Amino acid sequence: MYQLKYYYWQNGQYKILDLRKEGNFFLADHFGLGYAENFMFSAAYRYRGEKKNFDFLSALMKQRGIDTLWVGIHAVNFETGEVSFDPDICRAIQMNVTAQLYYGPIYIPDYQISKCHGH
Amino acid sequence: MGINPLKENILSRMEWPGSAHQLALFRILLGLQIFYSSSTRLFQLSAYVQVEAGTHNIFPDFLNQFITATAVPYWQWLTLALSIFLVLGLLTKYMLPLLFVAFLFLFSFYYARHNAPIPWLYIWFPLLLLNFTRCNDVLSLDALFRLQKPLTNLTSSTYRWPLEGVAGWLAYIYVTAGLAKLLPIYKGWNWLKGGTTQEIMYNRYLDSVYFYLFERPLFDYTTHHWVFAVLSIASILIELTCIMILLTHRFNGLVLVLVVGMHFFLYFAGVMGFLQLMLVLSISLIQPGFFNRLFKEGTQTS
Repeated sequence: MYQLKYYYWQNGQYKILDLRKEGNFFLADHFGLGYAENFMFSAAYRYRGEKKNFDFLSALMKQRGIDTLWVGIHAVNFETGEVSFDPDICRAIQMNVTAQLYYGPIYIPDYQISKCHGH
Repeated sequence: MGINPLKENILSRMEWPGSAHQLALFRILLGLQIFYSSSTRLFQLSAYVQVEAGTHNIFPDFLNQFITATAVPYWQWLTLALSIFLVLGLLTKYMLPLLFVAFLFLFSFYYARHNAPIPWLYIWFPLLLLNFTRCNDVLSLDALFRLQKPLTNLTSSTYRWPLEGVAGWLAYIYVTAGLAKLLPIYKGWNWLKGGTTQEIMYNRYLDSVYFYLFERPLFDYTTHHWVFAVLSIASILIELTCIMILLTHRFNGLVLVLVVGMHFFLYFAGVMGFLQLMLVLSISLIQPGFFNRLFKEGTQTS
């Protein structure tokens, strides 16, 4: 099973922005009170295809010192129990178009598409 | 002693002794929940993204347009401020009708853009009910400043009927949820086979508390279909069991444990929105005697 999620680079390592985790006050890495479960549900699922949703999230992350969000592939192999994350920006773009995704395609920023196409 | 629904049904229980502290505690918890539900930045996100959910409400168009224009700048802050008054029990009888209207308007905005009416469904009726109660007789600034004089008997049935009403609302929510899963029949059969449960657990695994804590699935979610069938059947049985609340109070403890257990499981599986709201309403399932002992309630002598 695959999911496309936003992530960012920090100290040479990718970090997944797990939106629904951020809706849990005790598990959140970036957000606190005011960003409850229902906010994260909408941001992660319902509005995931909207540019404005990305802009809103991106602005919030900039306030927290994260300049650029990318889209990568979070995957679980239920047979083996292994969970992996692929930060390849081009594979994420391809999967966003071709795969059947829960709540549909995610919004991918133009700079990711440009970088993938080598512009 | 046998169960006698004629004497123990919810209407009869409304005339039984209650607890002023239980009702006041419910007022405080409901106020905190309204503050929590209203403080979400989802309102700002929804106003910015401007995606409609295609849901309809009973308000005329001009009122919906007014609410859309005023929800975030005004109604959200008004609801937050009034919910603090509810928690403190200050000017309660004047504030409650205002809070009810503010809550209704604010969550109408929410519902139009977010087709999961979770806080709205759980809260609106109990909030309406509080308007007609003496929920500020104790544990309130109204009582402290003598703006509200409590009844002499703090175990009067005046404090009982509102909480039985909330218990009835809780039963309504869960029994209708159970029936909605079963009807129409073809949909009910799909649910009982576990397909919907499997789909939710499968698709939300990487967004679930279970994954965040343990990082590996418990088992292969693509097989073991019988597990999902058992979970689906159990959820319907638990929801339909809530009808017992209407007939007798004797199984309230069991109902409470089952429904909380169900929501706790769902919370771990990635369905997170219900547990907290259910816990607030579940105050109504606890017997008033517990609060009477806790607060040493009885006839007030001073």
